[in-house]
Amino acid sequence: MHRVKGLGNLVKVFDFSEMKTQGFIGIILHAHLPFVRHPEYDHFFEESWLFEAITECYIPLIKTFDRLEKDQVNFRLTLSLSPTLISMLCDELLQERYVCYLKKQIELAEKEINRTRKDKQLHSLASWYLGLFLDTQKIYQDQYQRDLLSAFKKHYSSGNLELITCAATHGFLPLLNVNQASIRNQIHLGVEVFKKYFGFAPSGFWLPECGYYPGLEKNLEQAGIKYFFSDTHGVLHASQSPVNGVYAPLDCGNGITVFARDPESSRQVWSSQEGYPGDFDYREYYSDIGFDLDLDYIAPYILDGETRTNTGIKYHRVTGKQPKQIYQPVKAVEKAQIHARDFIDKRQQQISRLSEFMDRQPIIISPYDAELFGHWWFEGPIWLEYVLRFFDEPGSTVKTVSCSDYLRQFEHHQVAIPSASTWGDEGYSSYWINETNDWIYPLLHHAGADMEKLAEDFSQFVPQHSILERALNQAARSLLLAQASDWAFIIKSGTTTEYAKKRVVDHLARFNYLHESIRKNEINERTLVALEILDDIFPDIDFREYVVKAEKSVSALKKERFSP
Amino acid sequence: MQYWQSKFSSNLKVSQQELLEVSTEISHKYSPEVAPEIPELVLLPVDPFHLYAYWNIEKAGGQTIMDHDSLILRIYWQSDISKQFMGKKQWLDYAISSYSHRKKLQVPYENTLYSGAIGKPQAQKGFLGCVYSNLVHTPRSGLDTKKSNRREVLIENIDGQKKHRTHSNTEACFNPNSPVDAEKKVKEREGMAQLFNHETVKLPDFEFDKNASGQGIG
Repeated sequence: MHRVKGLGNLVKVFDFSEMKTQGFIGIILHAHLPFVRHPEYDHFFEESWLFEAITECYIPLIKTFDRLEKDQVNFRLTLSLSPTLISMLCDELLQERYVCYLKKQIELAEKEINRTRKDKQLHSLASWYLGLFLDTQKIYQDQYQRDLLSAFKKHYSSGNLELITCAATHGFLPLLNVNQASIRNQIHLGVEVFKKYFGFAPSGFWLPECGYYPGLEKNLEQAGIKYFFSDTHGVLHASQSPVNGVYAPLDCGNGITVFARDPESSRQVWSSQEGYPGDFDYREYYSDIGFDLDLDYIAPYILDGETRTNTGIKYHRVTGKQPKQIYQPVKAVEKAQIHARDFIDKRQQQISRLSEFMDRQPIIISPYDAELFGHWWFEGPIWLEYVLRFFDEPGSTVKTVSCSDYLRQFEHHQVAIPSASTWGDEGYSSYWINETNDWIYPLLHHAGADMEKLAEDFSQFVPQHSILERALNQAARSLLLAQASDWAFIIKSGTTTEYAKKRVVDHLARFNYLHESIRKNEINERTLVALEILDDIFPDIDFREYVVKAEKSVSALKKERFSP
Repeated sequence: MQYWQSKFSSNLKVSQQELLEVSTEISHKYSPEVAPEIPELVLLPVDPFHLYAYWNIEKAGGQTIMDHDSLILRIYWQSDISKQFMGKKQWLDYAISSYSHRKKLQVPYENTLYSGAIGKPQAQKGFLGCVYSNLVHTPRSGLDTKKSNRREVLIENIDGQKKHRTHSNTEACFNPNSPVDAEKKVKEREGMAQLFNHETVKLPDFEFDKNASGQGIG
């Protein structure tokens, strides 16, 4: 008998004899949120996307990694951090606003303890929430001094995490490639932002929405990337049949490798019908006191005191029928443990079968949106913790690895070009271009072409740090922010559509304003400053990267350009 | 009143109210419009059997060289499979009712190069184009009509019964092992039920745009 470390000694497992590793699993979490930051308002509802994710996802994941490290559990996990998320996590305004948000959560939890004093179950839960929020505050403020990126970097340094990145503003590349410079800059700038904050270049790249088309690997190669991910059918429908299916990477012909998503492990976590998160014992996402309690009572903690929103305090479990029953955290943790064990068993069986007839040890690629863990699936981080602990048990035949680890072990791979694909509904681009959002693309393409022309016309003689250079850089920021795949996605999904539409229109309007100002040589510095404050992202952006047919490299242009 | 300091101009501070005013004014005055300086026709691949097209030809002289009624969007394809149609037309025509519009188009072949043009049909299969598109490539699907329909790949079944096997290209995309939304994909492709019982693969029945003439493979 063997006790798994930590988790209050809840877990008892059998200790199998030491066995040779038969295969590997690569768990990839893609963490991304669109850039939402509104200094022009005191409070802005959509900023709470970040705040909720910090409380429910990023800090719980950090707590998981910290506990695993403390218990000396050997694990490898890949975390993709999008450049917009990186930028928001280290933005002082958003950090300050998150601290205020957390204080309100704590205040509400205290109020709830009083309100629920006559109901033992709810009272106990309210106290539990208060403890959770206080702990979150302690980790955010005291342990990491508001710098969550340092937590991820710490686990990178200790060898637990492989950190990779994504396109600059999560642009949906298959529909942006009318403008080659837009593709190049989404990738290049993404890598540069990552390097600035972490101090090293990422080996891997998460294509937004797993959106791949043949040829994209060349852009990735130019950015120094070694590998990326595609959805299952991207590899299954490759130019050559993949002899190892999706259980070994393909070489795209230029040395860049592609790893494909394993459908079975994906479905176990993702599927709304058969996935773990829908278990009746888990917390119900849609039951929140922001919607359930009297408006007068909850008003100070919701949007503008009138519009009902999530508060993060949820008292019910999924249940499966009405009325919803009260959430029991201990029971939910036990279920997470059972589900983790189930996941491990299935992966070991899967690897065992695969390894019989593969010419190398198979790797199962299991990528998930990080925000699924904790935000949508409240128990996700604890499930992940159990999974990583179980994989490190003596006798486990499957080991967690990063794709870089795998590539170091196996140097030669079958050469084939994946097929165009995404991980979205229907597997292609239809979620991002359809009757609800198709109006975006002509506008983005025209702005992309205008940006290329601006770069071509001005790149060689714009003085460094001049107002003109700042205006050109700001135009590039506006274009990039308009290109985020999130806006098309939200418009299609029908949630906060007005906000998403406004973001596209606002950024393109700002681009148009700057374009006209630059062309007319009538740049109003005060207005420019306002735009720089409004869209304060990518401080080191260089509009010259948008030059399409530069004979010389951008670095050469920088050296040659006039400095006053 | 909160003020924001410029990172680049140390002597400049902007109030929160001014930020809001700048944002509102620019959004109001510079709202984006589709008004390209030159005529355009752009194609975007959506999935193996659909393209998106948007165009604007008002400055291409459309009003002078042709009437509204006679404008045609012609979609050409270039594919190995089209060899079997040698000597036959390799395009589809779509009637155009507006000088500036966007439209989703169903196309006959996956994994195929497409291009387009807007113009007016001429005598003896001629075509007078006024604007031409970019070249796009549709993705491969489970319906691989160009190659052998059997491929040797490794597919892992949940029950572990099937191992290294020959499987149909056509089942790969939509087989029960497909990702997360496999159920949804299957449901949406019920009309392609032949994919799951290994029967001969046919091209999907076209439901071309009602304005399409459908003469491409005629």
